[in-house]
This record gives sequence, C-alpha cells and structure tokens, in this order.
Amino acid sequence: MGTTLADADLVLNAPPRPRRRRRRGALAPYLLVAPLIAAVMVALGWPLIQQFLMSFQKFGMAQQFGAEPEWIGLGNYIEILGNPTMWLVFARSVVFCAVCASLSMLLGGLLAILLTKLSNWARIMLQVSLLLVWATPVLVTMVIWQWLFDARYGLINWVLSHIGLTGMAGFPWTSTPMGVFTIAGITVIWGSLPLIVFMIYSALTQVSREVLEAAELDGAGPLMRFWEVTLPLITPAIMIVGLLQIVWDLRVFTQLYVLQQAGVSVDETNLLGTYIFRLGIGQGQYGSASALATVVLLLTLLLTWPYIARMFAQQKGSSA
Amino acid sequence: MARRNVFAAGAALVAALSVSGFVTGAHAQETADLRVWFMQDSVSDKAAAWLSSEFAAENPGSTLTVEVQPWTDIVSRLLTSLASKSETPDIVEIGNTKSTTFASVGALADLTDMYDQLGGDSLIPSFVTAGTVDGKIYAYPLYAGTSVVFYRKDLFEKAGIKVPATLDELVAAAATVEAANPDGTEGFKGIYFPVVDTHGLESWLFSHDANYARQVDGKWVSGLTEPGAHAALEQLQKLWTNSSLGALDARETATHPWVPYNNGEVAIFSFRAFAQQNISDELKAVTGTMALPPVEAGGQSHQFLGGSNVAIAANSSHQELAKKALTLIMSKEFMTQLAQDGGWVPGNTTFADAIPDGLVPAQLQQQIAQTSGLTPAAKNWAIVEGNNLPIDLYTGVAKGENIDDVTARIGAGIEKVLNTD
Repeated sequence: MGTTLADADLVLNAPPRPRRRRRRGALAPYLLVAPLIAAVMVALGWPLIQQFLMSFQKFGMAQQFGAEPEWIGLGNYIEILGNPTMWLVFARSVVFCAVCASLSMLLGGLLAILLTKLSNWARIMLQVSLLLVWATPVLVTMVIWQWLFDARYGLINWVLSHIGLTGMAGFPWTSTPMGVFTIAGITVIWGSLPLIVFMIYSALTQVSREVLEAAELDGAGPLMRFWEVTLPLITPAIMIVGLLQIVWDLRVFTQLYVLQQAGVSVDETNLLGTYIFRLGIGQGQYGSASALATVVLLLTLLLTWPYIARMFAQQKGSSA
Repeated sequence: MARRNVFAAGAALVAALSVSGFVTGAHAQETADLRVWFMQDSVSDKAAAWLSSEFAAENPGSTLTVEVQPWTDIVSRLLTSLASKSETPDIVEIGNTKSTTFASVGALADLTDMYDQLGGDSLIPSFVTAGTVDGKIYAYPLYAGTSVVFYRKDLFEKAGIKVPATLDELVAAAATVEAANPDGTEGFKGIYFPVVDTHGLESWLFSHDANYARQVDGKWVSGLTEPGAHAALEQLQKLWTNSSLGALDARETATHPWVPYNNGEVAIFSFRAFAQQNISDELKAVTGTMALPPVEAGGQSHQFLGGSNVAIAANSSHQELAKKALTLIMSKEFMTQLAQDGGWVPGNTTFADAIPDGLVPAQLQQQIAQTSGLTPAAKNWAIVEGNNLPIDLYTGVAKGENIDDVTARIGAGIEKVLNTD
C-alpha cells in the first residue's frame, strides 16, 4: 500500500513526462526535422542566398545568358534607396495592404459569426460557396471579374447606371489606376475570404458554451458576451489569419499583373510585387531587382515585427 | 540516307551542308526530342502535325513536338526558358519587334550561313533586319500579318461618303457616318478605336514618317516631339474625341473588335486581316476593306507589319537537328500552309500567292507588307512595350490631354528605357 501511495505521490509531483525521456544528444528529433529543414533550405534558403549575392552584382540579361557578372558593392542599393519611385510604390503597397487586409478581416469575421447563427442547410450552402471561391484558380477569377467590370458589356456598369449613377455607363475601370486598384482589391479580398471565414468560424465553435452561459447568468448582454468572452478566446486565431493577410496582401502580384495587361499605366499601378517582377524579369535588371527584393524583405519584417512579437507573446502567455 | 544525298546533290551549298550534317549524324547517331514553341493562332494544327510527322520521317528516332504559347507574358517566359539549358525549347517563334532584344543578349544561335538556303532575298527584308545584330542573322521571318481597315459599305453609301483617300478623310468619314447614323442604331459611333491596339495606331505615326524614337549618334532620342508625330496624334485625338467607341477598352475586349461591329454599333474598325473570319455572314456582303489611307492622296501609307521570326535557341543542345527542323519550317510546304490556313503573308514571300482571297484580297496584304514600317529596332524596345508606354501615350491623347504634354512625358520615358544599358 505504502508503495502505491508513494508511486501516486511520485506521479503527481513528477516533472512533465517528456523531459524524463529526453536524453542529451539524442539524434532522433533532429533526424525527424532534418527533411523539413532541408526542404526549406532548398526552396527558400538557396534562392535567398542567390538573391543576396546578386544584389551586389551588375546582373542583366547578358549575364542571364552566360556573361560574367561584375561586382559593384552597394551600387544597386544606393540606386534603389535613392529612387523616389521605389518609395512611392512601397507607400502605395502599404496602403493597399492595409485597406485589403482590414476589409477582408472585417468581412471574414462577420461572415464567420453569420455562419454560427444560420440553420443547417443555409450554413452548408454558404460553406460550399466559400469552398468554390477557394477552389477557383486566380486567373479564372480575374477573367470573371474583368467581364463583370467591362466598360460597355459588364454587369457592374449596367447596374450602376440603372440605379441612377448614369455617369458610370461605359466607365473604363480597367484603364484608370483607381479602377484597377478597386478591381484588384475586390479580387484579393474575394480570394482570401474563405480561409478567414473558416479559421474564425472554427475558433468560434471552440468557445465553450458553459463560459458563455456563466457570463449570461452574471448579466452580460449579447454584445458584452461577444466583446468580453468570445473575442479574447478567438484572438489567437484572428492574429494568425491577420498576419497571413498582411503578408499576402503586401506581396500581391497575380491579380494586379493580370489587370495591368488589360492596358493601364504600369507606372501608376505598380505595387511591390509587380514592380520587382518588372524590374527583374521584365527588364532583365536582375541585380537591381534583387537589391530591391532584399530591401522589401527587411521593410516587411520591420513593418510586421510589432505584430509578430505580440503574437508570440500571446502564445507564450496562453501556454504558460 | 540515299534519299538525302540525292536531294542534296541539287545545289552545291545545300549539298555541303547536308553532307556535313550527315557525317556528324553518323558519328554521334544523334537522336533527340525537339521542342518547338509557336505562338497562339500562328500555325494551324494541320501545319503543326505536318511538321512533326515530316521531321520524324526524315530523322528516324527523333521527334518534334509543337508547344503552343499564349502571347501574354511571352517576353518574360522566353527570357527565363531560353536561359536554361535543360528547359529551353529548341526552336522559338519570336515577335518581330522583340527579335532584336533576344538576338543582342545572346539567347539565339547565329544562323547567318543559312540565309541563302532559307530563301535569301525573298525573305521579308524588315524582318531579317529585326533579327540581325552586328551583321549576324539570328532569326528568320516566319510570317507577317497585316492590319486592314474594315468598313460598312452600305452605311458609307447611305451617308454619301466616298472611300477615304487620306487620313483626314478617314477622320471625317467616321464623324459623318456617325452623324448620319443611317440605320438609326442606339449609341452608334463612327469607329471602334481602342488605345490598346497600339500596332494599329502607330501606323498613323509611320504614315506621317514619324516613329517613337530615332537613333542619333548612338543614342536614342524621342521621335514623338517631331511635327509628323504631332500631326498624327492630332488626327487620332480628333477621332477619339468625336467619333470613337471603346477608346479605353480592356485588352480582352479590344481584341474582339468584330463584336461591336457585328452588333452594328460602329461602321469602321481596324484589325489584323484574320478578323475577316469573325465578321457575321449578314455583314460580310456589305463589308469593304482597305489599307490605312496615306497622308496625301495618291501617297503611300506605312502600316506596322506585325508578325514573327523564328530562331534556334543558343542553349539548345541539338543544334544540327534544330537546323534541319528550321529548314522544314521555311520549306515551301510549311510556308504555303501558313498562308493557306492562317491567311498570313509567309516569311518567304515567294509563297504569298497561296493566301486565300477572302474579304481581304491577298494582293492588298502584299501591298501593305511591302510598304510596312517597324517600331524602333532597339535592344530595349520590348521593355518599352512591356511597360505599356505606347498604351500610356495613346491613353493620354484619347483622354484629351494636351498632346505636347503627353509626348514630352512619354518621350522622356521611352528615351530612358532605350538608353539604359
């Protein structure tokens, strides 16, 4: 009996189990993560190193076809940082990202809450539609939205001119920068909604009923319960999707690139993604484009750092 | 092989080439699977199939696959593919305005010695020029496509308009037919005139003996500030302000100009000759075609001659086989099929009489090809087009901006790109 008690005592006071099993210098865990690290190194590390090296070279089209690149030190960086266009494009990207990310988070959150209130069949319908949006290739989405926004034959202008905005009949959305950013913004938000809705919805379903009921008994109204109970509980999920949105919307490329092909001024509509692409692949200035990409990487890290730090702090707090 | 030698005995030069080809072939027993990139709508399925089977028959053990590429983004796709030894197609079709770019960066193999064998002086000269850098020829003309003005003969007649003999008369005709609106169509406009059809619009520049840029003492200077360019842009602005439909249409819409035409929304549009296939049966009978009229009556207009060159990738590891395939592409059979199926003016103009006579007479196309003009043959011209600078130019003019302001702005942009090393 005494032994049993002692055993129970031992178990209760035992340090967390994993620590007991882990031996110093064990190979297995490292072997297990090795393939992952190797994959990341090959897929991300190598191109990053290449980009970093290239950013110190004069690397143009001729070098792409075999000519020796010339090392020019910080030349590319000096050129990039002194170029007002790059700062304009950067500012434009930040604004575009802020608008798109916040709008899509807001809409996504509202739709997720809507999902919890719907009857079964309506919820399934909405979920299926969201899945379809998620499954549609971006290029197809772009074609559809361009048709909708077509100046003369498009649905949008037809509706706008029929609800009294007669000036909008024949409005050439695709050839004005604001029109292009509007379509790009809508398609970006459209494309990211499904993920946001599903993530937040799944977090919402994890909020325990007991806690909500307890709050209700304590006299909290619906708004109060959402604000004080539900929101704090789903914040980690929101933070993660939010970060993803910021990163994705900062480097938005396909939507804008397709729209630029339709015939708008490229200079007035470039965002970071298309700007780097046009400089590098389009104009064959791989050196400058690499330097620009490096600068953008650093700026992006700087911009998102407070956010990431807060997210880590929160995770630490919740696991402690 | 006996057949090859008999064939080769025909001409001394050809004989030398094929025998040397035969010898290396016998040594290395080289067989390979060649990849040929043709652009969308260039080559008919039938012609592509002929090329594959003919090549396989002449080169036992080797195959040739035709891969059709869309025009969108082709410059960047070529830049990345041609640079890779493993990914590069062996033979590529390259838009004629982009040939200089690729030839000067070393992406294409030197094919100077094939000039006579592939057609010599019968090859479209401006296309050979576009494929030549420092006296070496890297690309040969595959086909050319002319732009043609399509117009409604019946509406012109009802409005009492003669066929325009000058550019000014064309501008006036668009305004007159729009004002008359003989069929009483709602929202009727004189001409469908989208700015993204830059190749159609620059023909107005060329006809005024102007161009986007000229080379002066090794530097490129804007040609847009010249009086000829100004006169052309003034005419265009008049059309856009008074009598045009869809000036700022998206490219997707603008590449289907027959849609508004078939709807009866416009009386005139200009597009590549192949648009004739898409004109409704109803309108075919009342549709006339003409070349862009000249500045002065009886003069000569100079239209942009679109089209493609064909070249061998410098990185292809099957140069000899690729040359054999190129010979087949430039052969009478293939060139004739290009003319017959696509209605193109073939790169070797000897075979131009195979162009079928439709709405657009073969002779009209040949005439337009002979007097054609070309965008600046600068290494960086492809970048100017990739950055939409010509579209920006015409957009500014179409929106009614001051022409001098627009040409100063865009001209500076073009100079900057063209003079970047």
